[in-house]
Amino acid sequence: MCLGYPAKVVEILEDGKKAIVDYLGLKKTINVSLIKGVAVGDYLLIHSGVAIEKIDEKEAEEIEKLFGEVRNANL
Amino acid sequence: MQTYDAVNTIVNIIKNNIEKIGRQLRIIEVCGTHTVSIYRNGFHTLFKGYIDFISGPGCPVCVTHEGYINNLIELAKMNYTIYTFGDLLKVPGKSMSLAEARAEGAKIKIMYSPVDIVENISENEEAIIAAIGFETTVPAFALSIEKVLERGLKNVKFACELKTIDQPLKVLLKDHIKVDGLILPGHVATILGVDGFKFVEEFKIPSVISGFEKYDILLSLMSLTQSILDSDFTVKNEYKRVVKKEGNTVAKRYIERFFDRTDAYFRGLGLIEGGGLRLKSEYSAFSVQLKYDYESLSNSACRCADVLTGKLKPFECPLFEKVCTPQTPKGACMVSQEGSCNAYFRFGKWK
Ligand code: SF4
Repeated sequence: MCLGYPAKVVEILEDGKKAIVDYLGLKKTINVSLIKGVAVGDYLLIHSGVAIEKIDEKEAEEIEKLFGEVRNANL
Repeated sequence: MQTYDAVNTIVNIIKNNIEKIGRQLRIIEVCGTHTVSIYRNGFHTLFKGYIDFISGPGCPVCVTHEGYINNLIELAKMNYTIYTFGDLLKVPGKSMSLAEARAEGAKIKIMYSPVDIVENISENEEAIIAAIGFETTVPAFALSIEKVLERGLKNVKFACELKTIDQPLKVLLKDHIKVDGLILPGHVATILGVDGFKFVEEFKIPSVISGFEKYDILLSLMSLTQSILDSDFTVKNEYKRVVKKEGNTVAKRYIERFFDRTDAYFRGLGLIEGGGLRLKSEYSAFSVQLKYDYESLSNSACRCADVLTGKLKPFECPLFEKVCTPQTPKGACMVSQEGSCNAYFRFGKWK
């Protein structure tokens, strides 16, 4: 139940209290009241229908660069 | 291929570090989602002989005791609708699980988000929301209560069995377990920040906050083995893309606004002082009084208590795989997708 997933903001609703996010092509309305200054294009970490943090894209890119497609690498 | 090289390099660094330390390491992953990632990705076999992974008590479903389930079933019998996260459904209570109670006609509904429930619920439904979880989930319940207040709802109450991570971790490290290093829960740390885990340093055990992807675990093991090698007890953060030093301050303020510390009963660890959160007295109208008889708890054949304190591996439990499976779970560690018995059952390449 503690699963969190990253999703991209595609639309901001209700004065920034809610947003529509895209997770692997799936659109979902989530609560963003815990995040300051959400903008379209941001990546958020979602848990129980609530965004709990913004994902730092620079940091995420660093890891991507280091590992490329490591998700599919067979250990 | 570059990717493969990166993985190999890191795996080798980890193994080299451990060879320098000169013995097999005992590493505890506090959070159930880490347990799943470690077993799904086969890290327990990859590092066989190097690392003995121990699963800690950070899966909220696993530490929820049967007394709570009994309470929810009692409430369902009183004609309340119970809203619960799906993975609580099969946890065995004293006489039955919530799923069995539902089969007998109790109104038990699965929620994905408590905030969605209170936004959309009708004013005529007498509802109780089963509030379980660690600090990752607590803000969602805080937002739900705010919504209940905004809507002026009188028909929604919360059955709070919320847990905090610091107190049980202290008890575990002090009384129950000897480990070389800790993998700290990335999503609890998202809320509490690196600062929220500073207390671990007092125990002089190296630790790292980790994300949940395959590469997160590898980077964290690299950092952790280096800390062990250097006897460096500072909490390291290998989930920087999400976890900040101070955590999510808005979320923390929400928690403080609605909740107070309280003692809480953990399966495996017993009653822990300050191990839980209850609604502040000014909101007590929204809270259900739960009745517990701790004495009678956990006397079943299930060995979850030993599994959660690292004394026993799931496959050493006599019931594992024989009578206890995800279809017929005898304990919460087999029920939850993040429970260690469940992870061992599904990705059982340990032999
Ligand atoms: S295998 Fe089943 S009975 Fe044994 S400890 Fe795990 S959940 Fe409990």
